[in-house]
Amino acid sequence: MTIKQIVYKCLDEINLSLSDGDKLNKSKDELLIGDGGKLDSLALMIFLTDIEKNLKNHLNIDINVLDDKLMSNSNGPYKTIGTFIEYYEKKNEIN
Amino acid sequence: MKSIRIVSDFNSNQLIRLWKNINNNIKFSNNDFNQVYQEFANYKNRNDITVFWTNAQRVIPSFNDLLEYKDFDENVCYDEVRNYAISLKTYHKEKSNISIVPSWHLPLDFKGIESQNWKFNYGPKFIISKMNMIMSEIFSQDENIYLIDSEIWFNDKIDLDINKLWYTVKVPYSNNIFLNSITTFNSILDGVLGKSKKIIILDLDNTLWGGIIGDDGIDGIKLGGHDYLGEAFLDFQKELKKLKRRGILLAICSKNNEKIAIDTIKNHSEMILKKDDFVTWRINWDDKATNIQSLMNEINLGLDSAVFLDDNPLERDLVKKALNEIEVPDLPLDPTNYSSFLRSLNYFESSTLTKEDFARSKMYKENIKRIESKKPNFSFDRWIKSTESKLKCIKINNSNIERAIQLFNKTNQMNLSTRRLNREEFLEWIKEKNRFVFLYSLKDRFGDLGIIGLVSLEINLKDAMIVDFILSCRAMGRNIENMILSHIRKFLIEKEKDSITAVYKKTSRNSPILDMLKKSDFEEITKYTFKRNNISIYFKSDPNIKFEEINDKN
Repeated sequence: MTIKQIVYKCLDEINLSLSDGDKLNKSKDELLIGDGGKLDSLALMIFLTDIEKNLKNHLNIDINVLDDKLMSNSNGPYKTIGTFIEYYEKKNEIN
Repeated sequence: MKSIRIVSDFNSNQLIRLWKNINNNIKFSNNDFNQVYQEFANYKNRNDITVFWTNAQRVIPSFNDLLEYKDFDENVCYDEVRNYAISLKTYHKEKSNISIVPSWHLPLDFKGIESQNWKFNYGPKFIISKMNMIMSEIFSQDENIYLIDSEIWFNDKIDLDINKLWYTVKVPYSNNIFLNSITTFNSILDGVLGKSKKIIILDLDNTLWGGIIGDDGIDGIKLGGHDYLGEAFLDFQKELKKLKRRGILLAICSKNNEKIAIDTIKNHSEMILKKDDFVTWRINWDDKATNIQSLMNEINLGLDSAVFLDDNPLERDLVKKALNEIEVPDLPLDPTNYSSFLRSLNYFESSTLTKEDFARSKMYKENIKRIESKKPNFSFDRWIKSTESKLKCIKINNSNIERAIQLFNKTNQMNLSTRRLNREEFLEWIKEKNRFVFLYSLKDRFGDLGIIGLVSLEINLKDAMIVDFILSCRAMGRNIENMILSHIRKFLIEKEKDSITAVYKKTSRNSPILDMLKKSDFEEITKYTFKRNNISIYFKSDPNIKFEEINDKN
């Protein structure tokens, strides 16, 4: 599995609990946090925890995805699905 | 709109969100986080259903002491359990019509001291089991409180890694565990509300036994005996019998010769299910959707109370499309998984088990009234089209001759003359220039069925004789036989022949081909001799099946 596939798998999972209007699209421009983001804090935490668990299980990447600084920076890597995937792909390459 | 309240010692919002997306016509509410005893004391409203989902270490302080290796008094612990259960029962009486209580379990990542976990009177596994038993006893007088086994939801190791979710948002379970629990809750509610499935409609060949009874015969099918597949089918029948004893009706819908099928059920020494276990049946060559509709009309049950089990994905697809209220689960490909698959289905919950349940099958049989079958609102032609069937005519060659020989020697039901030929006899027979053999292969959107048919012809000056007409039972009942007849006609017209004859040689199993000839535009000129003159008059083929003829490469 790739990082992108893991993120999309977790996106399918979280969508199971979201109402139709709030479901996340598999699009790199889909907002994750900040104004216009569809996830409330519970959904965001579950989504990120799920990604963290799957990164560990499928790619053996042991990383803290629930990073307060990243989560609170609405113009940072967690802004959209695309920036999120890109950030972790780069981080994985470096490591 | 039904109302469900979740009383839990964790953040149940995720459970509610998932459940709401599955059942959007339910109004959900929940208690404040970790306010279980406050809920017992202060909550005022009444709901249709309440789910009391707590973790023992958080609501029974003594049990938490045990897990932390503090001083532990089992009697104090059991008193706390009694108090909890009585409070819950009181709440139930005043504020809930139906209550569901998942059993307590050890923390998901619990390890303990493995040699001590089941020790009498202090092993945590022993204690929590006894705590559940005390709850069960206290609830036993109230038939609308259901203590249910929660451990069946925790079967995937990845789901057990949830500590971070707990620390961050006080959610102690993964989505998977919640979804498993919702399946259980819904099936219990279906049972309580009378929406459980009442009848299982079963195919026969490769579903109740291994093999094709029409081809393999009563001694050739796999059922019981010293054979792993035979044992698997036997166990599957045992599971069905258990359900039948519980009051679930069994019926048969199978494309088969009725006499042969019923004889097998009556006379095969390993059959667990007896003829009397089936409330009714439709064993014929008609399409299964029509048969099931008529069967359900006969026993006067709605289609939404039925489950249809068939190994053949094509038949399942037909029934799903034609009768969308009926439940059609996909049987596993491997029959050794049939029994566990049946056990895993959540269709047959019941809130109680009564004497009437045990006698239900008999009762239905006694009460069956013939009600004129309504034609289902379903187009067989449209379904045939949707299967994207592609029939190919292939000339015989070295690569397919073995399959041709197999068709001669294995096919019984759709077999005009039941000639049994070995390779040498067959090669000898086709040496003559006026003899022709065609093989037919079939594909549909479910896969490649391979070579399913064979026709041999002997051509004279003006007339042609169909010597063999063989079609595998896998391809029967979907207009393939008519397509093949149509192809033969076309071939003979090109050879400028006027008429075509087929002589049916009766065996104990080949009545389906007689039915086909009788339904065709051939005339029965003497008993079992069918002839069609003026073959150039167009014989209708099925426009919904694609046909292709390919040439011999050899």
